[in-house]
Amino acid sequence: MINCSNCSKENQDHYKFCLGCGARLAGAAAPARPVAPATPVAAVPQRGGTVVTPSQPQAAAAAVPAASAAPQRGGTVVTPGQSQPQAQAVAPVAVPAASAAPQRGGTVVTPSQSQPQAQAAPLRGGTVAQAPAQAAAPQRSGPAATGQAIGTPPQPSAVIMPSAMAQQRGGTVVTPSQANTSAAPRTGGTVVGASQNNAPPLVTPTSAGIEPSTRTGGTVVGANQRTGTQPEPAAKPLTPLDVTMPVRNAAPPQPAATEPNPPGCSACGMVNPPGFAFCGRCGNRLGPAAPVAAPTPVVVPAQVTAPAPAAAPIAAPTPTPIPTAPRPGLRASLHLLREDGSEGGTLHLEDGPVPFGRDYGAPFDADFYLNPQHCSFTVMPEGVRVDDLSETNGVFRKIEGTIELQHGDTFRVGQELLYYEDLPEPEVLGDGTERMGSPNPGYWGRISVLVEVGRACEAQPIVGTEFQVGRERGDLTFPTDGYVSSSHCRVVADDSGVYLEDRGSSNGTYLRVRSGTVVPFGSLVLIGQQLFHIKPA
Amino acid sequence: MGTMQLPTVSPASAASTPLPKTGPHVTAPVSAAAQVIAQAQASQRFNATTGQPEGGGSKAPAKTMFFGALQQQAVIPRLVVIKGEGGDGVTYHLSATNHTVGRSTGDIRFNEDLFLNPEHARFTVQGGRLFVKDLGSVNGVFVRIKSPVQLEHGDFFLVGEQLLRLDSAPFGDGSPDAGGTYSYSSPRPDAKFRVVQLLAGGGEGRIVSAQGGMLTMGRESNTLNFPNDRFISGRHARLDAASDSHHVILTDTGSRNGTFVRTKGALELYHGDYLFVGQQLLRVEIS
Repeated sequence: MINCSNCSKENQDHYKFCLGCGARLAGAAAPARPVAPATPVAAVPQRGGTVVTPSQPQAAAAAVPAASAAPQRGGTVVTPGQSQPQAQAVAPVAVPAASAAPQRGGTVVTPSQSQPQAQAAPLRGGTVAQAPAQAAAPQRSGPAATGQAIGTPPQPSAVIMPSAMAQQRGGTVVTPSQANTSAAPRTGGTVVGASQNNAPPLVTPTSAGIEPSTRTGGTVVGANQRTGTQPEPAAKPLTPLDVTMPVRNAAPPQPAATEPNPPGCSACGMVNPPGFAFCGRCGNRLGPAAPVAAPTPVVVPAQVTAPAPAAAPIAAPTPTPIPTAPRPGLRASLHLLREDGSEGGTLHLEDGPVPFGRDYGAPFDADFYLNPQHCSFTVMPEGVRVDDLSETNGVFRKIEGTIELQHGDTFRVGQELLYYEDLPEPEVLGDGTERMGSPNPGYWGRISVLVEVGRACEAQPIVGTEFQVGRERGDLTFPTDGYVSSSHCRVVADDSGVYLEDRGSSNGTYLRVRSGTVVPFGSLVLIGQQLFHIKPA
Repeated sequence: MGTMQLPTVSPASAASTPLPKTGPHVTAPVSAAAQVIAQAQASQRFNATTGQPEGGGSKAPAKTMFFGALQQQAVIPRLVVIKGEGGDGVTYHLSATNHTVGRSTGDIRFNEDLFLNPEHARFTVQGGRLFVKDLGSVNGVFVRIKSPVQLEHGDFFLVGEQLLRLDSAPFGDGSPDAGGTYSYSSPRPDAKFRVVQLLAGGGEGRIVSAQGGMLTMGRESNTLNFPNDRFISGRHARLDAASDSHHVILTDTGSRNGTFVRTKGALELYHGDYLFVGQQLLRVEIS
């Protein structure tokens, strides 16, 4: 299994592109991958990295939009101060996946970690670790270059390198301690963080921020960014550390605008002709095209720490949200996915609750499966909290693997809307009378096919520990629904509860989000007739 | 697996018992009549339409005579409890005007039957005619149908061991709600009504939609199958949407044990009727 670094979906080992989001998978290149990606560790490092410089966190916040995974490859490089990004950058060149892995490992906050980072670097090509900060920087560049060369001849990589270096330098400048760290960072950005702070805090955001930059266009971006664009006020707050600034710049939208230069695909390094919105090799969206609708109001959290938000989730699989109270300035984005899998726009969220529905404007005002006031989003450190504002339809989340099923849950399979309920315990009335009825061989639950609210055209009670749903096989079948896979999903029960499991269906199984719960980053959600990818910003 | 048969009682034999006229009278648990019945009935079947015994050699009393007797003498209706296959049965003579059936009160008690309310139903004799009325019981009184009957939305019926309910309320037209929002829904089947299975102890089990305006029930090869129910016939009963679209017609398609419908209000009983009161299967004898 390969976990997509972008959306965290599990893909078969031989897949080259993610079934969930279409992003290139790290696959073959990095055997290491499997281990690293999933591990929560990654999240940790990120946080550590961010921690390093207060300014950085902010930057991260600013960067927001970009998705976690893709960006990492190129974008990460950009970020100056943070070691993590660097590490990522290196890795990315060669193999995205691989890069990711190292980072995570590197990220470990502890100083000791620095070593691991170094190791990571070597893998790709460098003996970076040895030299102090500056030295390290060059090394990086070296490795990166090599990596790029390998992966893609294109310049972008080269470009990136410089930017990265610059950043690093900048970063180092910022804080003496950092300087040392900076070296470390190369190896594994995290190191830096550690040295600087003991402060463990937080923020994954950096990684997030970095990523975005990558997407937009390549490493180059970073440099430009620094100089020029800054989307967000956040930069201002950064003051103390210039380094952080760049990061912000990294933020997707701007870079694209500013830099037309490097057409290199952030995912595979392919140099595409000007004007291409998507990479001709891998289909990844190229920087400039990135639809960043409204400049997100950057609410810059004055506080460095704030950024905590998204970063962790990136890794998705095991989001272990660090218990950081949500603070103002948490950001996330909803990327609209068109039917062909391309992205159709981005909805930026910050803090919240942010109401959403048919009343809120253009792309969605013609979707009559959206209520005028449909739901509200609140950005949390580990994802986006969804609260229903209307009973009708709600928000559905595509399930990955197995998820708990509770009484009253609704889920979608193909065109079908299904409802799960626990069956009541046998009832004895007050006067001792029992209810007569059909023999009950041990039914404990029931799945109904809803035709309208509260009304079913079909229902099957559940007995035993497994209940299968499919087009052709199972306890509940839909022979006429072509959107249902022959074996689509199943409900299983054990001592710990009842679970819904997708069985590798083509179209997925969507579970309605219980109002007031948090949907982790990386999830696909169905709202009205729209499919969104929730990403941290 | 074959269909098990509920013991049935031949009307002819029942008629042979003379009736004392004292209150609800209980004949010896195993009346000669009952035994005869039980034995003779192993293969006895009743015409689902007429309620009369099927098969040759019937000694069915002439109907006109029977009716005349009702007019002229005070006939005491009897309720015969059908017990298992052995034919152990108790005969209750309904010699008073009202007789109450229940688990703990009333003239006719079944202390062990938890499906009976303490006071469950009342039998009333008027001029030789017998009526039954459900006294608001939880589980009701079910009468075997002798001919197709019309059911309405919410009516209950028994097929083998299965307690079923007719759901014939139409679905909405799929129009948007007040806010102009359409609801997600599964594709709607082309069905005029549905059948809901009610489980012992409460709760709903299966729900099955008709195929167009028809739904068949039985052990196998039907719209709704209960392969593990030993009391269901292969093709047991069917439901057909009536032309008025408000009713559905329930027909027993030659089942061995019959199809029962829950009574609503007072219902007149006739000789040869079968009814379920709680777990008790009773046969009505009026002659």
